[in-house]
Amino acid sequence: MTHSVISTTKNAHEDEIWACKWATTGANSSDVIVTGSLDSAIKLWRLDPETGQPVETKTLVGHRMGILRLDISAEHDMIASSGMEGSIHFWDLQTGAPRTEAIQGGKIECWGLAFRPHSTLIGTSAQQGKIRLFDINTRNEVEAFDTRGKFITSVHFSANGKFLAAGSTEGTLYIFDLQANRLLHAIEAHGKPIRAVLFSPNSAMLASASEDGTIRLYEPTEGLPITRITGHTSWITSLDFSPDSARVASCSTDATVRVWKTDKEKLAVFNEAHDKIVWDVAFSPEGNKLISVAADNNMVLYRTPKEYS
Amino acid sequence: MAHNNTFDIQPPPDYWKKDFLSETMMAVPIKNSSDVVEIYLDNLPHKNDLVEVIQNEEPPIKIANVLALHCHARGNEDIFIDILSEAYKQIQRYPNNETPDRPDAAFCMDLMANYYTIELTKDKYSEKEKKEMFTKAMRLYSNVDQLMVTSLYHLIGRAYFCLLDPEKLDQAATQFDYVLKSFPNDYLALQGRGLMAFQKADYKKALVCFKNILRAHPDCSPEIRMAIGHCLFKLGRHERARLAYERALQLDSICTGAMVGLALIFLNENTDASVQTAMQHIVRVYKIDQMQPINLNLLAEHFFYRRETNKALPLAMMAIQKSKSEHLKAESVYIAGKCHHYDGNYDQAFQFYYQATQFAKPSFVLPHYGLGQMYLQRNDIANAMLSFEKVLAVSPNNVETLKILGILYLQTGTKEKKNQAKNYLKRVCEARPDDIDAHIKFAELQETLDPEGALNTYRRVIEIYRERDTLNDVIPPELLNNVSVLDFQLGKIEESRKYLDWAIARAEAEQEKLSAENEHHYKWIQTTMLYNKGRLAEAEKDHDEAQRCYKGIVVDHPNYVDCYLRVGCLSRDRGNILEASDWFKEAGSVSPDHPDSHLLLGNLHMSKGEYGPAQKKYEKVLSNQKSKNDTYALLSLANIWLETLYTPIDPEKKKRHSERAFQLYKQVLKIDPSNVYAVNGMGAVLAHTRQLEEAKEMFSVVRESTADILDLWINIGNLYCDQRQFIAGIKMYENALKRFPTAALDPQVFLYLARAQCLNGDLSAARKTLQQARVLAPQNQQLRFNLGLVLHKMAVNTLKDFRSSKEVKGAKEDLQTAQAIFDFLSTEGDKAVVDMHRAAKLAKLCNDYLTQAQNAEVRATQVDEEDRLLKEKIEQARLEYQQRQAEEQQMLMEEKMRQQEELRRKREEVLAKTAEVKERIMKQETEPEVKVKSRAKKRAAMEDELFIDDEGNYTTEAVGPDGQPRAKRLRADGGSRRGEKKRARRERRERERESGMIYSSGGEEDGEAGAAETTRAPREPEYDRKGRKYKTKAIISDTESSSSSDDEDGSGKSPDKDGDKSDNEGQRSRKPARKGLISSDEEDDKAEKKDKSEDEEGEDQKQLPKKTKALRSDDEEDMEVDDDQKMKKKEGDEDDEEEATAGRRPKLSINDSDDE
Repeated sequence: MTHSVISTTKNAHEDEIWACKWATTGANSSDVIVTGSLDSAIKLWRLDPETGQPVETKTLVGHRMGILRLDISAEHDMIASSGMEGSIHFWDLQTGAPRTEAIQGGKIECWGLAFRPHSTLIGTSAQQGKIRLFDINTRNEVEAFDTRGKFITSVHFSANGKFLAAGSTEGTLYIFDLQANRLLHAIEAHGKPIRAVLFSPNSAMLASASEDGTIRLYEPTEGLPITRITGHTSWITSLDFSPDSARVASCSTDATVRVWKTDKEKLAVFNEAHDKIVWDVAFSPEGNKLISVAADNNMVLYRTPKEYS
Repeated sequence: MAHNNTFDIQPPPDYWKKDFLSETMMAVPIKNSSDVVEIYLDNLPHKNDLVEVIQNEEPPIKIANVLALHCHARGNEDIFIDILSEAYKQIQRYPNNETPDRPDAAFCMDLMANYYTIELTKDKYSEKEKKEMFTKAMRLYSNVDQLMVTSLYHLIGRAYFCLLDPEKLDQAATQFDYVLKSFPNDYLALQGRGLMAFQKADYKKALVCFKNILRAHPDCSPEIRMAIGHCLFKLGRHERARLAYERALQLDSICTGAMVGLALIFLNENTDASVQTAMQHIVRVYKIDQMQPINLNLLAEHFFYRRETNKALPLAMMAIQKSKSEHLKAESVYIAGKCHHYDGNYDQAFQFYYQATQFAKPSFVLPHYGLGQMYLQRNDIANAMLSFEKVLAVSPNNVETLKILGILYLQTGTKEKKNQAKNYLKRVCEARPDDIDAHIKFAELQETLDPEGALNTYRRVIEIYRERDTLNDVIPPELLNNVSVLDFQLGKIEESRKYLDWAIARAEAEQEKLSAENEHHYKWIQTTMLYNKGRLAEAEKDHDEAQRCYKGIVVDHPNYVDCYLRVGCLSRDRGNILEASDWFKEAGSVSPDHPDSHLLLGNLHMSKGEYGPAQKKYEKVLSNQKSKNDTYALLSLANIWLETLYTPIDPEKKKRHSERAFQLYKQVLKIDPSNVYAVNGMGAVLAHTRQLEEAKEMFSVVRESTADILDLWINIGNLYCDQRQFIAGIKMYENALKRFPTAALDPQVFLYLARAQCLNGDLSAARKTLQQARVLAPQNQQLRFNLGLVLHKMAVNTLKDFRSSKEVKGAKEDLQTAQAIFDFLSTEGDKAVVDMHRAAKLAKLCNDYLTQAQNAEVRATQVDEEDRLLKEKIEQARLEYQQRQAEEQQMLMEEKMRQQEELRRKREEVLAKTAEVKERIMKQETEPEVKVKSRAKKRAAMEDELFIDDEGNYTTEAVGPDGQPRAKRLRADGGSRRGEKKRARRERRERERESGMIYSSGGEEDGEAGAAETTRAPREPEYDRKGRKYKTKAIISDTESSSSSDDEDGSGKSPDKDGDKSDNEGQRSRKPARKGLISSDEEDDKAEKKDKSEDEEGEDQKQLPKKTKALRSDDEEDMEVDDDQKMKKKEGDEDDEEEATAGRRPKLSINDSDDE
């Protein structure tokens, strides 16, 4: 088994695709792929059992502008999406029906977006370097974490509920201790804006991807660097951990998608899959497949075997 | 040729008696007496005595002639000529040489002339003597011309004489031909003609002549056979030639010419055995005639190839002495040259080669090749090239020469020559797929123009190395390094790393093996590779690793400036300007003359907007004698002046600055006429000074030479927009985005595009474009501001003209978003980037519109209701129509079925009847019926039938119309049915018209599509109206902008416009002037407009310069990369060359690769 492209879904959206997620629905444990595009639509896909290719099942309309971020609740029941118009919408993961009312970010936009596990809160961030936590049900801002940054592009909560991470356009990585409700570390991780921060599913690692073309992995408690992954020749736009926390997939403005072991060993480079900026990647819940979405309006599905040799 | 112009003198026939040669005694009558002097021919008296006899006795000329001939026959040629000379003296005593015995006198003179002619072909005379003889012969022949021009012997002799003079060959030919007309088999004439043809390389003609001799005179001299052999040899018929030579040798065992011929044939066969045989012949010839020049050449050549120059050289020298023909001599001289060349006596060799080139006929180019080599040895490239070019002119496919010339051209460095070099080397590589050297050189040539090709060529070289030594890795690390660099340039980072790692491993292995002397060489290579490794790490964004590499180099080579610069750039890219500046300064102190450190420092200042210090840095570079023509510095300086044009300065200054910038660009062009950046800059200046057409011209000049400059595309786009050709502008931006990966990451380009789209009235496109830009730079407030403007504008448009409450709702949401944006920016905006006051105003405006939107919503619900009603109506109408149509269809169908039924019935009837008839016929006349088989017969049968019909014998009423008429009727039937169809359609259309709907003329269109159309139809005009309105409004807003601040529509529009522009136009647009502009009252109308246009310009121009600057500053990274790489390589090379011995050069050349 080698890494390879399984299929390319051309014009999966009418415009650039900016975000994607892949999740199991709690109920019948079938997979759902969620994509969000500049065309302001969110689409749900499932893999056709026969052809193994993504088939569109539903288009979710509600945002007025491009979909910036997507997140799936820890309970696998809800999709959150943030649009450039500054609102966060919620959708049922299975049916795609809107859930509750949208949260309006107001003056501050919602670029970073992440469910906080074991709670009804969702974290979001953008201007002012603030991470705001909204209650999904009341849509009220209930909590906020301040950073010294001007603009936080990405936020993420660790699955164990202990940490909150945020990345700024100054390249600084912030780690908050949620139990103590305080800033734990502010690490000058990159020389260029951070595009994405992500805890590994086992909460042992925190990854940051930056426009400086590198991914850095940190141990969240001590804030110590674990490793640095290099190889992309341009900005890294996003990344995803495999469910077993052993691998990282990254995508870049160099139009490539790469898969690494977390100890920085390179596993695969997909050069030809896209011909424009690749905006997001997502591992399948089993970790043996990967999708990427890009500015060429296409979605590409890859085989990423666990048994790499 | 050996037998050139040789022939035996033969007396005219009347002198000859059969026993002429056996005569032993001759009597010479004594003057005035009947006595005679008896001369015994076998025992000739002394020459002087004989001459005395002739002198004293004055016998008839004939007697003298015969006596002379006798002497000649006995080998006493000197007596022969003396006797004749004596006789000639007597002849001369008569006026006009009119002796009584005229034919004898003529003959005497001809004999003499012939004698001289023959002697002239011998080598034993000095030039002076030869000239004398030539004149004598000439005079004698012209004497005879007057006496007896028609004499056969005279004609032939004279023709032979003409052969001596290359210019008179044709005359000789005419004379021979003249003789041959009367005496087609004349031996001498044929031989002469043959020789002549041979000399003129007309070997076929020569062969014919010699063969004719052989036919007419079977007992001719063996030399004729030899001549035939030569002809055949020249004609390439070597086997026949060999036979001829062998026959000649049978007849004359010491015929050296034939032997040499044979030797040549055997040599040409070029097998070991044949060469040996050839050598036997050559040796034999040498034994017989040590002076035979061709043979000497062959022998010398032989020894040369055995590398026995000590033997070859004397032989060649001898051949030189003995050669009569210049061509032959050239060959001998060439061999001598080769010997000297081989022995290392280059001066001697040079002289001999040179001499050879003087003697050689044009087709003999080997001496030029040797001479070229000698020029090379003397490092006289220009002359060497000339020599080799001569070789190539004659043998255009000579691989050696192609290669040498290719390499030489490569060194000259001119573009034209390089192209030629490329061409040559390509051919060499094709001809010799295993020639490493040629491949490497070829690859070097390709590097600049065709890196892919170069890469392939290098790969081929690697293959060759592998083929040569399958066990060991012998590939030079330099080669691998070059492959790595090329891969790097082509963006194949992975490949590049692979090869670089390989190269490093190879260098290490090599270093262990080699001596101390080479160690240095490899150390250097390793340094280079370490640098390249750093570059690679940089490309893969592994800056720590890159830094490690560079710093590692600096430890060993503290003067390696590039490393400091790279480390500085790394710091700079990380945003650590101070650290970067320190590194650049460090580089500057290591190598003060190195312009790059100052330039990079200047760029650092520029990036922070510190024009003054930047200017100083650039000027520092230009003040250095070594870099005073540095175009980069000049360009940067010009860009600074250009940049100042976008800052608010008074017009006087502006004018001065633009002129200064223009001058600097011009200066760059003077230094480097192909510098497109300078032209681009000039275009920007022109655009700034509103000389748009001129600017356009400038840009098109640049565009002609290259389309690979992003700024150029942007500038042209800006220019189009300046001229209000927005669609063209949009196209430019879009293409730039497609073409340049860097542009796709530059929000500024998107901003230009959005602005153009906005001005073009395509707000939704602008909205999309701005979103794209925002994703690239989320924190960019300028983009956010502009997005707010577009949202606001779109919403306002929608509120004015909407079709449904859904649209109104959307507009409301957009307004809320816009309001949020302006809200934020009015309080938290960065003053440097956005106009916070404007933001506040806009926020308020949005708020106002939101209130209005509520009214709109009410109206929208009404519209919705109307819409719904209309839809219902239409639906109803559609249903009715459908019903009607269905009915109609039903009727039609029924009708059709009825008709068909009828038709079928009729047909059946007819069929039945026919069958009946046939049956009947069959019964009565079986015989003719049988024939109905082939088609032709069928007709006959039909006729029969008809006939029968006519006869009426068997007719029934039904059968009659059953024949041909039946067909006709059928047709008529069809016609009528079609007519019906047509009618049906027409009816329907009429009905449609009545119902007020317009359907497309398609057949049975389904109701749904029709319905859709109907709903759409009434709207269409609205679209139109809207579009038009929109445009006019846009214009209105332009003109009314200041006055309309309170007016809903106007105010909505005009600030929009302004905002759009100003914001799009760049961060620097936050000027107090702008604010005034927006709030200004009507009086300011004009001024405002002007302002605006200036602003616009300002923006554009700002962009323009920015672009040009970007060329250097933003793209600097890349550019620098290249430069650095080049520089690095160059340096490396220089080092290398210093340390390397000449012998190692070819290897080095692998490394030069990047020099170009």
